[in-house]
Amino acid sequence: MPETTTGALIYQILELLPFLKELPEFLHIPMLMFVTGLIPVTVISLVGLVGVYMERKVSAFMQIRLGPMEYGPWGTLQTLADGIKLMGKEDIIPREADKPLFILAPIAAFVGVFLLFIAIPFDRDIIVVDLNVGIFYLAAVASIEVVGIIMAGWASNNKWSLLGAMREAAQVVAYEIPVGICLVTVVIVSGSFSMVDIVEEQKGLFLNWFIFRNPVMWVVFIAFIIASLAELKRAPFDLPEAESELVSGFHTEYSGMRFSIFFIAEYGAMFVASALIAILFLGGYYTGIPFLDNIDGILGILIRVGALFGKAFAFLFLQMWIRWTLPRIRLDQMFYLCYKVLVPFGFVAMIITAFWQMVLPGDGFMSLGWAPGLGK
Amino acid sequence: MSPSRDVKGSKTKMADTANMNTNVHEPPDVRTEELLLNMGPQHPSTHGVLKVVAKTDGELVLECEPVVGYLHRCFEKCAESGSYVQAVPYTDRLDYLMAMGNNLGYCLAVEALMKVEIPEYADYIRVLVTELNRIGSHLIAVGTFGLDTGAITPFFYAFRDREMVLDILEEICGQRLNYNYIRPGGVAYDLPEGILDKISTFIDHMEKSLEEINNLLTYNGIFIHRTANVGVMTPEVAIKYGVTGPNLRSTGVKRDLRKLRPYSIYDRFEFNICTGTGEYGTIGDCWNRHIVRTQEIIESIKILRQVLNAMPTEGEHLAKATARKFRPPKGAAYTAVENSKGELGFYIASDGTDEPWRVKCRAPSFHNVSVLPALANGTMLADLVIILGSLDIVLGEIDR
Amino acid sequence: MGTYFREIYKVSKSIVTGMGITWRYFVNAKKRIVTIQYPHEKAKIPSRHRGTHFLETEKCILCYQCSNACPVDCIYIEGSRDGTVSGSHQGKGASLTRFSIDYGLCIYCNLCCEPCPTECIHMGQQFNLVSTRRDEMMNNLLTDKVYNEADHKFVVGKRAEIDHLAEEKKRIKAEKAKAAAAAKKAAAAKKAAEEAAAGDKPEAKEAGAAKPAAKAEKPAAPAKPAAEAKPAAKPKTDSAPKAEGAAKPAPAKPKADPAPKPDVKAEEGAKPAAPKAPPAKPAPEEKKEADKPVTESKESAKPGDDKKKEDDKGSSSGPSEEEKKS
Repeated sequence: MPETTTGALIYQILELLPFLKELPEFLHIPMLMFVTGLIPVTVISLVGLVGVYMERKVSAFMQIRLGPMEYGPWGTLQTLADGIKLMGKEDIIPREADKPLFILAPIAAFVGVFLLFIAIPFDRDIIVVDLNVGIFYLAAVASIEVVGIIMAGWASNNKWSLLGAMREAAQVVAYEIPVGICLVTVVIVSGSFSMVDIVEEQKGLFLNWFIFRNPVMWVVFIAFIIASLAELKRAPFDLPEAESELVSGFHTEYSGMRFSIFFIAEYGAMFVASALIAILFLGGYYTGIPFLDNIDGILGILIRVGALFGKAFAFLFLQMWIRWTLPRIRLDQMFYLCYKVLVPFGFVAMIITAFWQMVLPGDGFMSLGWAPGLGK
Repeated sequence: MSPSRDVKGSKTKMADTANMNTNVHEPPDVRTEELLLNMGPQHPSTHGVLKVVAKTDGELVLECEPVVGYLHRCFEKCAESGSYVQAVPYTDRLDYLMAMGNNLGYCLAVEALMKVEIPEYADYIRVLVTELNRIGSHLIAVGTFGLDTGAITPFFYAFRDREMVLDILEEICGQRLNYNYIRPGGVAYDLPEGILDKISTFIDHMEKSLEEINNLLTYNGIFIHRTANVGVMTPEVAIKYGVTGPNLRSTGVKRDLRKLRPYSIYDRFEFNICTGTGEYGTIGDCWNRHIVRTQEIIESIKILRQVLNAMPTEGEHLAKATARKFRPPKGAAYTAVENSKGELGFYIASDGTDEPWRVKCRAPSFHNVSVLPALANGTMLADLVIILGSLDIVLGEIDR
Repeated sequence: MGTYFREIYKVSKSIVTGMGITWRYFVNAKKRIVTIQYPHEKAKIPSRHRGTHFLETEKCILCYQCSNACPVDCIYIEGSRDGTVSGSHQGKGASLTRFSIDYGLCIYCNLCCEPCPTECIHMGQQFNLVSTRRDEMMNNLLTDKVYNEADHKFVVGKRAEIDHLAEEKKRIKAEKAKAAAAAKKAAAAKKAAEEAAAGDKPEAKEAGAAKPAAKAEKPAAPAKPAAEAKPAAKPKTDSAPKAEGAAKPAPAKPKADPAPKPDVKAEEGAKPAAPKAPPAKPAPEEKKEADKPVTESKESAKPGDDKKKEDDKGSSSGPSEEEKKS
């Protein structure tokens, strides 16, 4: 057994599950991997279920409809029913498709999202691994989903799918830049790559959150929201699956369980992005009220986890709200927005932030004198 | 499938989208292939069973060609093989979004053959239902155009309002889409009681609702950027291709048959001919085609208000001469009406029997879709969908 | 540079405006939702709705006008007017063996209903015609139940109401001409039963111009106590005789020879009065059908007193729909 490091959930699980220790030594690591792997999978699936239901209801209410109403009260079990239906559907692989790639594509997309969950802190100690390069890790791993999508587009042997995949590739490559700039800005403020450190830095009164740290931080915040929408291929950036143009884009040929894996991956990624916005700018798992944040024990954990989920679902709602309001933008406009709007704005904000940190290091507004060191 | 294409290469050209030369310069060392895309007949945004064969280079549409005929059902021959009245339900199925206008156009032609006098009351009912139907048709155009740009919610608002139109029309004639209401000599049934109040309630609602749709869709920045300066049609091109209706008016040509050659009793009403405003983009682009439709809804509301005020409370709804089977004298007649899609013309030749000898339909959508290659060549794939949506075609009419 | 920032501002502002609109819809969803849960609640169908057909067999004179008027030739009628064929479905002076409509072809244009001289074919409220096979779309209006119960109730109720209005009109006329008062009154109770049964003169459509000629032919004049008698009599005439003499497979035409029927009816209907219609013997299949119309027509006969009712019905369906929408 390697020496445990603080905050690593993986080793706490070993303590929680003593029977693991009774297994032969060489099985410890695989079993740990298995058990810890189950947690993100469960969270992704649950988030997918809730997210799909939420999307349906939000869209329905905005569109003067009722949405699903048949299964369960207010149709709450509809998503579950759909999941079961999808599992029972025939598994169709087009004859001319590239079979291995076609099968691998949804898995690759899902793995990308799965890996994202590893670095998300739900609480100080509830994080799979608190990497000391957490933000880099996220930026790197976020692109794995794209690989799955390009594989899907290619393997389907469908022109619409291919076009969708190409759009996705171009889009994600382009928006890595503004996302990276936003992340760097946050790192400048926090002084750490570790996700837990970033959140801990924002402990205390909500004015301590990074979005309030300097006058340009909200620009970064909005840029990050827009860029994350593009990375997630959510409307108005849903070009890869633009259904009025490309039928269904990269998943035109997918059906049944494979399609639903794409679907769950999409909602999992949406949740991660929402949680990331909360973590990077809005205090992560802290409520912003010191009294509540300092509670210990199980209750404190529940409050903090609840705070993160609350913030994440608020942004999930924002994503849906935007989707059901706006038209889709065109490919060239998407690049225009990226290279000519988000990148310059983000870049300027990053420079200003850097100078701000040099001139007024520490707590931003807090260090302007009126509430020094309240957060610490 | 042609795997190796130069996505990067085409992107450099996306900057100027206006009138792209189809002879695209390619870097010499990259092998590129054109991709032939069959868009339709089953495609979410071809508005029916239209097929567009597009030769694309990445996202660029080099050439495109609409392929029609998937919905051909021999309207003209069917109309020639039955009595004059029996052809009316067939006209419903031409432009099924504006069946009242089709009925009206056909019946006017028959009446011109018969030289029959229409009761005034019937004329008012005709204008009433036709303008109501025009609102419904334009609402579909507005809503589905939003759908083509990816804005899904305005579509539902437009359909909510259209549903009210359909409810009113269903109460008047018993059907929601294929009305078979206007007949040679008048209309099939009298108006039900209380319907006029409902219509005035609806048009009050419609004005408010249209404003909301405009705020949500028409003046949305992304929507403007998607549609303005896209698919610009000059008046010359429009006239050359025989484009009529809102598509022609959006180019600035003031041509509305209701004003130009007033049929029925349209000369009694005050309304404007809406043309492209050029408020955004250039006159004749997709955004202006869209705004013309939204404004025509307002003009239709104006006409409806006047009809409601001026309408006699009761009267004959069907001329006696055509109440039963009739035989028009030998001769031929052509009448054209301003349908929601453009000039809908019917040429009917009679040989004196109770069946028309020849029926010819001039369907506006057929001409409107023919202009697609002229507008869409050299644009991007996403623009092709937008241009097609802005033309507001109905395949039932194109293929007849 | 100025346009760059102005453009960004304009786009952002319009996005915020749009999101404000959808937000208002979202929070006021309860008030604004216009959809209904279809199989559980159903939209009100206006009285003029053109659904599947409804045939008043006993009034059909086998003139083929409907099938001639049909633009798609989907009506198939077989029968005879000379009495050589004795089918169980008796029209007025004609026996019908088949009256089929192929709903795979029908375009619901209403052209068949308009030329009918006796106004015996109507378009009902039923619109849901789902079937897995093409031949199931062929419906014989004489035997098949193409319309559902609600539809049947509606049409029968409507007819009772219209009949009643017609009767009322005639009664007033008849009263004015006091001439045959005494004699007619004696027969009134009996006749009324038979008459309503025959389903005299229903103009199911307000549109269809009233046909005085056709009306006059009917023995309607003496219809005095129509109101009470109607409910009992309403059910189809063919079912009534059947219930009566279960043994007779092909009952004589009630309409054509008024003599036998009114008598039977009078015994049953006049004495125990209106409310008892189902009392007859257990009948064949048609018996069931007969019951329903009876109860229904009672209900609808009540509001039928008012002359305006017929028109009101059409308009009253509207407002509720309108409210729902707004």
